[in-house]
Amino acid sequence: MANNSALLEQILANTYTTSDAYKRLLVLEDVLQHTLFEKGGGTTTREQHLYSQYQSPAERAAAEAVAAWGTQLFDAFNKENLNADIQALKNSIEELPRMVVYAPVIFEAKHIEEIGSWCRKNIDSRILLDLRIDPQATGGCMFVWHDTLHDFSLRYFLKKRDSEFRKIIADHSVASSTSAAGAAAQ
Amino acid sequence: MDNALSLDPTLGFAIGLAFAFLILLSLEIYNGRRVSKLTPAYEYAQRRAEDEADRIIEEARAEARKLMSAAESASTALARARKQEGETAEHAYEAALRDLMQKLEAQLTTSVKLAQESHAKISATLSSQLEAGGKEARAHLSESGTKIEQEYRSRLETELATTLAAAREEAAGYARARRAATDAEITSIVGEAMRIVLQKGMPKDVHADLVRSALEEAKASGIF
Repeated sequence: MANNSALLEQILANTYTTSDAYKRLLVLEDVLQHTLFEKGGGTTTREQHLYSQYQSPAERAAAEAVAAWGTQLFDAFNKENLNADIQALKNSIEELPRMVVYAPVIFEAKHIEEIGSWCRKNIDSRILLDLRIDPQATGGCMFVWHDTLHDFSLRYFLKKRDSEFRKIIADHSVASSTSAAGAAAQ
Repeated sequence: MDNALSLDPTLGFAIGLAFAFLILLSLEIYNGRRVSKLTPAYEYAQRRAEDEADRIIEEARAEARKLMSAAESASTALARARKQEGETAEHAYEAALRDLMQKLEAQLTTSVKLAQESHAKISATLSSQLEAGGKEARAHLSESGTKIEQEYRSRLETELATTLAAAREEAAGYARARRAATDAEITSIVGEAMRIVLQKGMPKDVHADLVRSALEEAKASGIF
Protein backbone atom coordinates (compact mmCIF):
# COMPACT_ATOMS: atom_id res chain seq x y z
CA MET A 1 0.00 0.00 0.00
CA ALA A 2 1.46 3.33 -1.06
CA ASN A 3 0.01 5.65 1.56
CA ASN A 4 0.09 3.65 4.77
CA SER A 5 0.97 6.69 6.86
CA ALA A 6 -2.03 8.66 5.58
CA LEU A 7 -4.35 5.76 6.35
CA LEU A 8 -2.90 5.46 9.82
CA GLU A 9 -3.44 9.17 10.41
CA GLN A 10 -7.02 8.78 9.28
CA ILE A 11 -7.53 5.87 11.70
CA LEU A 12 -5.92 7.74 14.57
CA ALA A 13 -8.18 10.74 14.01
CA ASN A 14 -10.97 9.11 16.03
CA THR A 15 -9.06 6.28 17.74
CA TYR A 16 -7.29 6.91 21.01
CA THR A 17 -6.80 3.49 22.60
CA THR A 18 -5.00 0.35 21.47
CA SER A 19 -8.04 -1.84 22.12
CA ASP A 20 -10.19 0.39 19.90
CA ALA A 21 -7.52 0.41 17.21
CA TYR A 22 -7.29 -3.40 17.02
CA LYS A 23 -11.06 -3.83 17.31
CA ARG A 24 -11.73 -1.33 14.52
CA LEU A 25 -9.09 -2.88 12.29
CA LEU A 26 -10.89 -6.23 12.65
CA VAL A 27 -14.17 -4.55 11.73
CA LEU A 28 -12.49 -2.87 8.74
CA GLU A 29 -11.00 -6.16 7.59
CA ASP A 30 -14.39 -7.86 7.92
CA VAL A 31 -16.17 -5.15 5.95
CA LEU A 32 -13.49 -5.12 3.24
CA GLN A 33 -13.62 -8.90 2.86
CA HIS A 34 -17.39 -8.67 2.55
CA THR A 35 -17.15 -5.85 0.03
CA LEU A 36 -14.34 -7.28 -2.08
CA PHE A 37 -15.07 -10.98 -2.05
CA GLU A 38 -18.89 -11.18 -1.98
CA LYS A 39 -21.25 -10.59 -4.85
CA GLY A 40 -22.86 -7.19 -5.09
CA GLY A 41 -20.29 -5.47 -2.82
CA GLY A 42 -20.45 -1.67 -2.97
CA THR A 43 -20.81 1.46 -0.94
CA THR A 44 -24.42 0.84 0.03
CA THR A 45 -23.74 -2.80 0.77
CA ARG A 46 -20.71 -1.84 2.91
CA GLU A 47 -22.68 0.45 5.24
CA GLN A 48 -25.55 -2.01 5.38
CA HIS A 49 -23.15 -4.71 6.37
CA LEU A 50 -21.60 -2.56 9.09
CA TYR A 51 -24.86 -1.67 10.77
CA SER A 52 -26.43 -5.07 10.30
CA GLN A 53 -23.46 -7.05 11.63
CA TYR A 54 -22.49 -4.86 14.62
CA GLN A 55 -25.57 -4.08 16.64
CA SER A 56 -24.58 -4.12 20.31
CA PRO A 57 -23.68 -0.66 21.74
CA ALA A 58 -19.95 -1.41 21.88
CA GLU A 59 -19.93 -2.94 18.40
CA ARG A 60 -22.07 -0.15 17.06
CA ALA A 61 -19.55 2.41 18.36
CA ALA A 62 -16.76 0.57 16.55
CA ALA A 63 -18.83 0.33 13.37
CA GLU A 64 -19.61 4.04 13.49
CA ALA A 65 -15.97 4.90 14.00
CA VAL A 66 -14.97 2.73 11.02
CA ALA A 67 -17.71 4.30 8.90
CA ALA A 68 -16.43 7.72 9.86
CA TRP A 69 -13.04 6.92 8.27
CA GLY A 70 -14.80 7.53 4.88
CA THR A 71 -14.94 5.89 1.50
CA GLN A 72 -11.45 7.06 0.58
CA LEU A 73 -9.93 4.71 3.11
CA PHE A 74 -12.01 1.77 1.97
CA ASP A 75 -11.10 2.42 -1.66
CA ALA A 76 -7.41 2.18 -0.87
CA PHE A 77 -7.72 -1.60 -0.47
CA ASN A 78 -8.21 -4.17 -3.23
CA LYS A 79 -8.38 -7.94 -3.44
CA GLU A 80 -4.65 -8.34 -4.02
CA ASN A 81 -3.30 -6.23 -1.17
CA LEU A 82 -6.00 -6.58 1.49
CA ASN A 83 -4.28 -9.01 3.85
CA ALA A 84 -0.83 -7.48 3.46
CA ASP A 85 -2.11 -3.94 3.99
CA ILE A 86 -4.17 -4.83 7.04
CA GLN A 87 -1.12 -6.58 8.51
CA ALA A 88 1.00 -3.51 7.69
CA LEU A 89 -1.51 -1.30 9.52
CA LYS A 90 -1.41 -3.63 12.55
CA ASN A 91 2.37 -3.47 12.55
CA SER A 92 2.27 0.30 12.33
CA ILE A 93 -0.09 0.44 15.30
CA GLU A 94 2.29 -1.81 17.23
CA GLU A 95 5.06 0.71 16.66
CA LEU A 96 3.09 3.75 17.84
CA PRO A 97 4.00 5.28 21.22
CA ARG A 98 1.65 4.09 23.90
CA MET A 99 0.94 4.92 27.51
CA VAL A 100 -0.69 2.54 29.98
CA VAL A 101 -3.16 4.48 32.14
CA TYR A 102 -4.69 3.05 35.34
CA ALA A 103 -7.97 4.79 36.18
CA PRO A 104 -10.61 3.91 38.81
CA VAL A 105 -13.59 3.73 36.38
CA ILE A 106 -14.39 2.68 32.84
CA PHE A 107 -14.60 5.86 30.82
CA GLU A 108 -17.12 6.61 28.10
CA ALA A 109 -16.03 7.42 24.55
CA LYS A 110 -16.26 11.18 25.03
CA HIS A 111 -14.02 11.02 28.11
CA ILE A 112 -11.51 8.84 26.27
CA GLU A 113 -11.55 11.33 23.42
CA GLU A 114 -10.91 14.21 25.86
CA ILE A 115 -8.04 12.45 27.57
CA GLY A 116 -6.64 11.14 24.29
CA SER A 117 -6.78 14.57 22.69
CA TRP A 118 -4.98 16.05 25.64
CA CYS A 119 -2.28 13.39 25.34
CA ARG A 120 -1.94 13.91 21.57
CA LYS A 121 -1.61 17.62 22.14
CA ASN A 122 0.76 17.51 25.11
CA ILE A 123 2.70 14.26 24.82
CA ASP A 124 2.81 12.81 21.31
CA SER A 125 0.60 13.50 18.29
CA ARG A 126 0.29 9.74 17.50
CA ILE A 127 0.07 8.34 21.03
CA LEU A 128 -2.31 5.51 21.87
CA LEU A 129 -3.64 4.87 25.37
CA ASP A 130 -3.87 1.46 26.99
CA LEU A 131 -6.64 2.05 29.54
CA ARG A 132 -6.88 -0.28 32.52
CA ILE A 133 -9.08 -0.28 35.61
CA ASP A 134 -7.60 0.08 39.12
CA PRO A 135 -10.21 0.84 41.83
CA GLN A 136 -7.42 1.56 44.34
CA ALA A 137 -6.44 4.61 42.30
CA THR A 138 -9.63 6.25 43.72
CA GLY A 139 -9.15 9.42 41.71
CA GLY A 140 -6.68 10.74 39.18
CA CYS A 141 -4.60 8.04 37.55
CA MET A 142 -1.37 6.11 37.47
CA PHE A 143 0.39 5.63 34.19
CA VAL A 144 3.36 3.84 32.71
CA TRP A 145 5.47 5.96 30.43
CA HIS A 146 8.77 4.75 29.04
CA ASP A 147 8.73 1.67 31.26
CA THR A 148 8.28 3.69 34.47
CA LEU A 149 5.17 3.74 36.64
CA HIS A 150 4.11 7.21 37.79
CA ASP A 151 1.53 7.52 40.54
CA PHE A 152 -0.67 10.59 40.18
CA SER A 153 -3.70 9.04 41.78
CA LEU A 154 -5.57 10.40 44.78
CA ARG A 155 -2.87 8.83 46.99
CA TYR A 156 -0.37 11.16 45.38
CA PHE A 157 -2.56 14.21 45.88
CA LEU A 158 -3.30 13.22 49.46
CA LYS A 159 0.39 12.90 50.13
CA LYS A 160 1.00 16.22 48.46
CA ARG A 161 -1.58 17.94 50.66
CA ASP A 162 -0.67 15.95 53.73
CA SER A 163 0.25 19.02 55.77
CA GLU A 164 -3.12 20.63 55.04
CA PHE A 165 -4.92 17.51 56.28
CA ARG A 166 -2.85 17.46 59.41
CA LYS A 167 -3.52 21.12 60.06
CA ILE A 168 -7.27 20.61 59.63
CA ILE A 169 -7.22 17.64 61.98
CA ALA A 170 -5.07 19.47 64.53
CA ASP A 171 -7.37 22.49 64.46
CA HIS A 172 -10.36 20.21 64.83
CA SER A 173 -8.74 18.45 67.82
CA VAL A 174 -7.95 21.74 69.55
CA ALA A 175 -11.48 23.05 68.96
CA SER A 176 -13.00 19.81 70.27
CA SER A 177 -10.87 19.79 73.44
CA THR A 178 -11.64 23.52 74.11
CA SER A 179 -15.38 23.00 73.75
CA ALA A 180 -15.20 19.92 75.91
CA ALA A 181 -13.33 21.85 78.63
CA GLY A 182 -15.87 24.68 78.45
CA ALA A 183 -18.74 22.27 78.80
CA ALA A 184 -17.05 20.64 81.79
CA ALA A 185 -16.53 24.03 83.45
CA GLN A 186 -20.21 24.89 83.09
CA MET B 1 104.38 -133.85 54.90
CA ASP B 2 101.64 -132.04 53.11
CA ASN B 3 99.31 -132.61 56.11
CA ALA B 4 101.86 -131.16 58.56
CA LEU B 5 102.37 -128.07 56.41
CA SER B 6 98.70 -127.56 55.86
CA LEU B 7 98.03 -126.78 59.57
CA ASP B 8 95.00 -124.63 60.45
CA PRO B 9 96.03 -120.94 61.11
CA THR B 10 93.80 -120.78 64.21
CA LEU B 11 95.51 -123.71 65.73
CA GLY B 12 98.95 -122.20 65.01
CA PHE B 13 97.93 -118.95 66.70
CA ALA B 14 96.78 -120.88 69.80
CA ILE B 15 100.04 -122.76 70.04
CA GLY B 16 102.04 -119.50 69.81
CA LEU B 17 99.91 -117.93 72.49
CA ALA B 18 100.48 -120.87 74.85
CA PHE B 19 104.17 -120.69 74.26
CA ALA B 20 104.31 -116.99 75.13
CA PHE B 21 102.30 -117.64 78.29
CA LEU B 22 104.89 -120.20 79.44
CA ILE B 23 107.74 -117.73 78.90
CA LEU B 24 106.00 -115.06 80.98
CA LEU B 25 105.29 -117.55 83.75
CA SER B 26 108.91 -118.54 83.98
CA LEU B 27 110.02 -114.87 84.13
CA GLU B 28 107.60 -114.16 86.96
CA ILE B 29 108.85 -117.04 88.98
CA TYR B 30 112.40 -115.83 88.53
CA ASN B 31 111.59 -112.27 89.66
CA GLY B 32 109.64 -113.54 92.66
CA ARG B 33 112.64 -115.41 93.91
CA ARG B 34 114.86 -112.31 93.57
CA VAL B 35 112.41 -110.00 95.41
CA SER B 36 112.00 -112.41 98.30
CA LYS B 37 115.80 -112.26 98.74
CA LEU B 38 115.82 -108.34 98.81
CA THR B 39 112.75 -107.61 101.18
CA PRO B 40 114.48 -107.64 104.65
CA ALA B 41 117.10 -105.06 103.56
CA TYR B 42 114.39 -102.96 102.07
CA GLU B 43 112.28 -103.08 105.22
CA TYR B 44 115.23 -102.03 107.36
CA ALA B 45 116.09 -99.11 105.14
CA GLN B 46 112.49 -98.04 105.20
CA ARG B 47 112.33 -98.13 108.98
CA ARG B 48 115.51 -96.07 109.25
CA ALA B 49 114.15 -93.50 106.89
CA GLU B 50 110.88 -93.24 108.84
CA ASP B 51 112.73 -92.71 112.11
CA GLU B 52 114.86 -90.00 110.55
CA ALA B 53 111.78 -88.30 109.16
CA ASP B 54 110.02 -88.41 112.54
CA ARG B 55 113.00 -86.80 114.17
CA ILE B 56 113.21 -84.05 111.62
CA ILE B 57 109.49 -83.35 111.98
CA GLU B 58 109.76 -83.16 115.75
CA GLU B 59 112.63 -80.74 115.53
CA ALA B 60 110.68 -78.61 113.08
CA ARG B 61 107.71 -78.60 115.39
CA ALA B 62 109.79 -77.43 118.31
CA GLU B 63 111.34 -74.74 116.18
CA ALA B 64 107.91 -73.64 114.97
CA ARG B 65 106.62 -73.47 118.50
CA LYS B 66 109.52 -71.26 119.46
CA LEU B 67 108.93 -68.99 116.50
CA MET B 68 105.23 -68.77 117.15
CA SER B 69 105.81 -67.94 120.80
CA ALA B 70 108.26 -65.20 119.88
CA ALA B 71 105.91 -63.85 117.25
CA GLU B 72 103.00 -63.82 119.66
CA SER B 73 105.03 -61.92 122.23
CA ALA B 74 106.12 -59.44 119.60
CA SER B 75 102.60 -58.98 118.30
CA THR B 76 101.20 -58.50 121.77
CA ALA B 77 103.82 -55.85 122.47
CA LEU B 78 103.13 -54.17 119.18
CA ALA B 79 99.38 -54.21 119.78
CA ARG B 80 99.84 -52.70 123.16
CA ALA B 81 102.03 -49.99 121.72
CA ARG B 82 99.44 -49.25 118.98
CA LYS B 83 96.67 -49.12 121.53
CA GLN B 84 98.57 -46.64 123.60
CA GLU B 85 99.29 -44.55 120.52
CA GLY B 86 95.57 -44.59 119.58
CA GLU B 87 94.49 -43.54 123.01
CA THR B 88 96.99 -40.72 122.96
CA ALA B 89 95.79 -39.54 119.54
CA GLU B 90 92.17 -39.70 120.66
CA HIS B 91 92.89 -37.54 123.64
CA ALA B 92 94.69 -35.03 121.46
CA TYR B 93 91.78 -34.96 118.96
CA GLU B 94 89.24 -34.41 121.71
CA ALA B 95 91.30 -31.60 123.15
CA ALA B 96 91.69 -29.96 119.75
CA LEU B 97 87.95 -30.34 119.03
CA ARG B 98 87.03 -28.87 122.35
CA ASP B 99 89.33 -25.96 121.69
CA LEU B 100 87.84 -25.44 118.22
CA MET B 101 84.30 -25.55 119.59
CA GLN B 102 85.14 -22.97 122.18
CA LYS B 103 86.61 -20.73 119.52
CA LEU B 104 83.57 -21.15 117.24
CA GLU B 105 81.23 -20.47 120.11
CA ALA B 106 83.10 -17.29 120.91
CA GLN B 107 82.98 -16.18 117.27
CA LEU B 108 79.29 -16.96 117.01
CA THR B 109 78.56 -14.95 120.11
CA THR B 110 80.46 -12.06 118.63
CA SER B 111 78.65 -12.35 115.30
CA VAL B 112 75.26 -12.46 117.02
CA LYS B 113 76.10 -9.41 118.97
CA LEU B 114 77.22 -7.61 115.81
CA ALA B 115 74.06 -8.70 113.97
CA GLN B 116 71.87 -7.46 116.76
CA GLU B 117 73.63 -4.15 116.72
CA SER B 118 73.27 -3.88 112.90
CA HIS B 119 69.62 -4.85 113.11
CA ALA B 120 69.01 -2.20 115.70
CA LYS B 121 70.72 0.38 113.52
CA ILE B 122 68.80 -0.65 110.37
CA SER B 123 65.52 -0.66 112.29
CA ALA B 124 66.19 2.78 113.56
CA THR B 125 67.09 4.04 110.08
CA LEU B 126 64.08 2.41 108.46
CA SER B 127 61.75 3.74 111.12
CA SER B 128 62.97 7.25 110.54
CA GLN B 129 62.74 6.86 106.74
CA LEU B 130 59.28 5.28 106.92
CA GLU B 131 58.06 8.02 109.13
CA ALA B 132 59.24 10.64 106.65
CA GLY B 133 57.86 8.68 103.64
CA GLY B 134 54.54 8.11 105.36
CA LYS B 135 54.00 11.80 105.80
CA GLU B 136 54.75 12.37 102.15
CA ALA B 137 52.55 9.47 101.04
CA ARG B 138 49.64 10.70 103.14
CA ALA B 139 49.94 14.11 101.56
CA HIS B 140 50.15 12.63 98.07
CA LEU B 141 47.23 10.30 98.74
CA SER B 142 45.09 13.12 99.96
CA GLU B 143 45.95 15.20 96.90
CA SER B 144 45.27 12.28 94.53
CA GLY B 145 41.95 11.56 96.23
CA THR B 146 40.86 15.13 95.74
CA LYS B 147 41.88 15.06 92.08
CA ILE B 148 40.12 11.74 91.43
CA GLU B 149 36.99 12.96 93.16
CA GLN B 150 36.95 16.09 91.06
CA GLU B 151 37.59 14.18 87.83
CA TYR B 152 34.98 11.57 88.67
CA ARG B 153 32.44 14.23 89.48
CA SER B 154 33.19 16.03 86.22
CA ARG B 155 32.95 12.82 84.21
CA LEU B 156 29.75 11.82 85.97
CA GLU B 157 28.20 15.19 85.20
CA THR B 158 29.24 14.83 81.53
CA GLU B 159 27.88 11.31 81.35
CA LEU B 160 24.62 12.36 82.95
CA ALA B 161 24.28 15.28 80.57
CA THR B 162 24.96 13.04 77.56
CA THR B 163 22.53 10.38 78.75
CA LEU B 164 19.90 13.00 79.45
CA ALA B 165 20.37 14.53 75.99
CA ALA B 166 20.19 11.08 74.37
CA ALA B 167 17.02 10.29 76.33
CA ARG B 168 15.49 13.61 75.29
CA GLU B 169 16.48 12.97 71.68
CA GLU B 170 15.05 9.47 71.83
CA ALA B 171 11.82 10.76 73.33
CA ALA B 172 11.63 13.45 70.65
CA GLY B 173 12.31 10.85 67.95
CA TYR B 174 9.65 8.60 69.39
CA ALA B 175 7.20 11.50 69.47
CA ARG B 176 8.08 12.36 65.86
CA ALA B 177 7.67 8.75 64.79
CA ARG B 178 4.37 8.42 66.60
CA ARG B 179 3.16 11.68 65.09
CA ALA B 180 4.23 10.56 61.63
CA ALA B 181 2.53 7.20 62.13
CA THR B 182 -0.63 8.94 63.32
CA ASP B 183 -0.51 11.34 60.38
CA ALA B 184 -0.03 8.46 57.95
CA GLU B 185 -2.92 6.63 59.56
CA ILE B 186 -5.15 9.72 59.35
CA THR B 187 -4.19 10.27 55.71
CA SER B 188 -4.92 6.63 55.01
CA ILE B 189 -8.34 6.89 56.68
CA VAL B 190 -9.14 10.08 54.78
CA GLY B 191 -8.01 8.44 51.53
CA GLU B 192 -10.12 5.36 52.15
CA ALA B 193 -13.13 7.50 53.03
CA MET B 194 -12.62 9.57 49.91
CA ARG B 195 -12.18 6.45 47.79
CA ILE B 196 -15.48 5.04 49.04
CA VAL B 197 -17.28 8.33 48.55
CA LEU B 198 -15.71 9.12 45.18
CA GLN B 199 -16.10 5.70 43.64
CA LYS B 200 -19.72 5.40 44.56
CA GLY B 201 -20.90 8.94 44.07
CA MET B 202 -18.63 10.81 41.70
CA PRO B 203 -19.66 11.18 38.03
CA LYS B 204 -17.32 9.93 35.33
CA ASP B 205 -16.91 13.47 34.04
CA VAL B 206 -15.24 14.39 37.30
CA HIS B 207 -13.07 11.27 37.12
CA ALA B 208 -12.03 12.24 33.61
CA ASP B 209 -11.23 15.74 34.83
CA LEU B 210 -9.17 14.26 37.66
CA VAL B 211 -7.25 12.08 35.19
CA ARG B 212 -6.57 15.09 33.02
CA SER B 213 -5.49 17.07 36.09
CA ALA B 214 -3.17 14.24 37.06
CA LEU B 215 -1.65 14.20 33.59
CA GLU B 216 -1.21 17.97 33.69
CA GLU B 217 0.48 17.61 37.08
CA ALA B 218 2.76 14.98 35.56
CA LYS B 219 3.55 17.27 32.66
CA ALA B 220 4.33 20.09 35.08
CA SER B 221 6.66 17.68 36.88
CA GLY B 222 8.58 17.23 33.62
CA ILE B 223 7.73 13.56 33.09
CA PHE B 224 6.70 13.97 29.43
